Amino acid sequence: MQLGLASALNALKAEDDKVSGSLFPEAEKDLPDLLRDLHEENSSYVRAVESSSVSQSSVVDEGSGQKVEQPAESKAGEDIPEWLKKVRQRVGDEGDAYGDLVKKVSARDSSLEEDVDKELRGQFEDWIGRLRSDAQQEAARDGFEPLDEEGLQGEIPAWLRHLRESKGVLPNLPEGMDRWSTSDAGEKLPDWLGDTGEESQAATGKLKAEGMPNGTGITQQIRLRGSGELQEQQPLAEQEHKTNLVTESEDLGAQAADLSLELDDITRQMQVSHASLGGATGGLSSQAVEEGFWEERTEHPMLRVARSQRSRAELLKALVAAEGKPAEKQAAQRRRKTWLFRLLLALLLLTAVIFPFLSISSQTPQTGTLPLEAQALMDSINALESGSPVLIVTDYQAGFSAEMEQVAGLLIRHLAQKQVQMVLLSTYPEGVWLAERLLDVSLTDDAFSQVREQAVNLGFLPGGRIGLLSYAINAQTSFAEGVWESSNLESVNHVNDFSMVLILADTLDSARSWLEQTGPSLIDTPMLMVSSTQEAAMMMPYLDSGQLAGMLSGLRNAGLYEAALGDTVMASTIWSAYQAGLLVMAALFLVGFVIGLETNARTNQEEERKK
Amino acid sequence: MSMVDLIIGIISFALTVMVFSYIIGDNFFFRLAVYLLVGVSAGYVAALLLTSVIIPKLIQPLFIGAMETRLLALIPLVLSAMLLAMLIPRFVRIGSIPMAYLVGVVAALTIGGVTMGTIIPQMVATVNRFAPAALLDGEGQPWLKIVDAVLVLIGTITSLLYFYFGTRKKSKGENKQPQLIEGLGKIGQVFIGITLGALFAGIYSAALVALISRIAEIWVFFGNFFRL
Repeated sequence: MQLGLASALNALKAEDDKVSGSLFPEAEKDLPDLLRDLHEENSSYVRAVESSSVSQSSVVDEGSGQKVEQPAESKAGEDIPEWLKKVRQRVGDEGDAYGDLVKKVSARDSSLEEDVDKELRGQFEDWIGRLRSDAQQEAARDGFEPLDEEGLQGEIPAWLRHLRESKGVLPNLPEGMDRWSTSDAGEKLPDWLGDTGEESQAATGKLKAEGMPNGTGITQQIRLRGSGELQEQQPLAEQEHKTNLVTESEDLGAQAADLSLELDDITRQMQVSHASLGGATGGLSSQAVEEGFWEERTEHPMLRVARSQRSRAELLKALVAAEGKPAEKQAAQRRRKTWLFRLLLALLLLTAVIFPFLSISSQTPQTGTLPLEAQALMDSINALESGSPVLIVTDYQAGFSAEMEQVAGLLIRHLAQKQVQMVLLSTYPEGVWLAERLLDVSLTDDAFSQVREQAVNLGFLPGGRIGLLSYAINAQTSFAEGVWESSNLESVNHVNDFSMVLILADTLDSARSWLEQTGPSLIDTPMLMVSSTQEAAMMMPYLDSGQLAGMLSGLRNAGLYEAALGDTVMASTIWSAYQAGLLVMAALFLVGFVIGLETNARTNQEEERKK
Repeated sequence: MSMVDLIIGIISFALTVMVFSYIIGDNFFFRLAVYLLVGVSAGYVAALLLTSVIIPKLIQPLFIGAMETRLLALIPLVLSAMLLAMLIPRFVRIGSIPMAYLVGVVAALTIGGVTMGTIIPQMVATVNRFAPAALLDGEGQPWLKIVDAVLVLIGTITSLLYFYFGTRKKSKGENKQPQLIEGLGKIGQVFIGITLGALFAGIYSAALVALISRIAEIWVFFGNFFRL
């Protein structure tokens, strides 16, 4: 087989050289490595065979499974390139589908040699038939239609008909054991795959007599395919594909035709080669078929992928191709729309919030009933004696200072009225200066100056939950040397020694840390909470369980608390702005909800219409 | 208005406008304000930790007090050094010792705290709602208190069941939750939805207060400025 292949290529090359002269002397250098190696290998193989006087029939016998004389084999083996040896080795060793196929062929050959019984042969033919039908179905699933050459007889060029006649390959032969006539896909096998040297030479002679279609020789076609364009597109895939073809031809030999349907990649390649050579197969131009083939089959020919995987790969390919083209324009338009919409909403909200500042209104206290938890807090503060130490924890971030100061400021003033000693600390680093700011903005009245001076800021309590537990166990040792001593808190050694613990927390985590770590240490000291509105709902269970003695949250409750104190420090404009803002927000939510419903309904209708 | 107040007011106003500029999309001025906030915060925290923690609680004890106290002060220093060694890839394993100690202590504290400070007290509170004294004493109608207690009980149980992910294997091989648990979990979903809605409204409310506060401060600043 190898000799036949070499002879065919040599004959074709010689013939082509005669036809084209020295038109492509440089083109040969541009041949793909695979073809060059193939050519050189075959040439050397011919030389080796000739020198060792091995008859052609013996080589053919190798292809048919018979043993070849050892010296010739070893000589030929020496001339085989390294890559081909590896390929052969891999095909022999691998247990994949192809390896199994080879093993099955070998096993089948053995059984045929041992038992030539007709019944067994019939079974074998049934098996082969099943394989063929399966492969045909698979090929049909992949969108590959076998060539209907019977209907294209008139379109097959004369040179190709002669070539087939020289091999005994005629599409209209009755079905039998002939490999070319029994298998549709067999016709798609490369001609040179099953060619002998004599056949090729004969074919070349006829080919020369008929002339090449479109003035292009086979070798030239191969050269052109191996030229730079092809190398740029699929160099690796093509080389590997060709390698597989050669390997198949050597290992399977004459059996390859019988099992050609299993090798659908080869048949596809051959179909393209037919189109390329004949220019008339299936009514497609050779260029179109070839381009389609190389564009579609980008993966390795031996790679088996599911259709879903292939469709996903195609989707990804389409996404990558579409990246940055029209989508960019759509995204820009969407951004512009979003920007305008956002600006409109912001202006609407700002107008609603600013409007109360522009209008002149008298300061009126809030009306309503103070919630139970706020009332409990007020009662706890009212129960304090003058000079009692009160621990105030400022565990909130600067972003929440506006809300916390509005609410906690009332309590600070209330505590100042009771003339208690305020002790401030924080487990937040920024809580240290936020505590100072809270005192500054709350105790602006000169009447509170003494309380302000007596207030102690213990600063930052490090260690998170560990620090809190340490503080609960021994308050003094949790701080740096000298801090406690300078704070004039000799009467306080333990957290329970405080008359009240007031926690200003913006998050549930912070509040829970205090409740869980220091709460159990508070025996007769009430723990009270000032919470951000966003976390107030989560604090309610701790009120129900009695872990919190009271709580105050939100601007509205703060206003009610202020009114209960008989104070009107909070500007009514702030409350009015808050109300206006809430109203606008509620309206926007409602509009958004309606629009969302409408959009969903429209989308559903469109989907149903599409279905 | 003093010069300091004026400068602070102008800077404050400029930063507010820079943050508001995010309305028209991400831009240089918004990023500048964010970088300023992050940079100033990081610098402040670093300085605070150095002056409030590292020097007074880690370095000073090495030089003050009795020998035993000084030796004891070496332990946190060594542990800190071992933690710092984690910055060098070769010595990562050294840092795993103090890290394991920290993680273990914090985990123990958290589990203990959650159990004793949240789960048990709130279970007791839920049960106590049905106590005759709680139903009959105080203000309000007893039947309303019973309805309230039943609602709380249903909410607690069904919300917990919503987070029950155990399944039972059916004969056909498919895993499915028991229907009772699945149905009760759906009721719990309603309670969870209401809670999340309240939290969401709270977030908006807090943000609105922050906006109003900022506008109020700018309003006052300009009022004082033009009154000059």
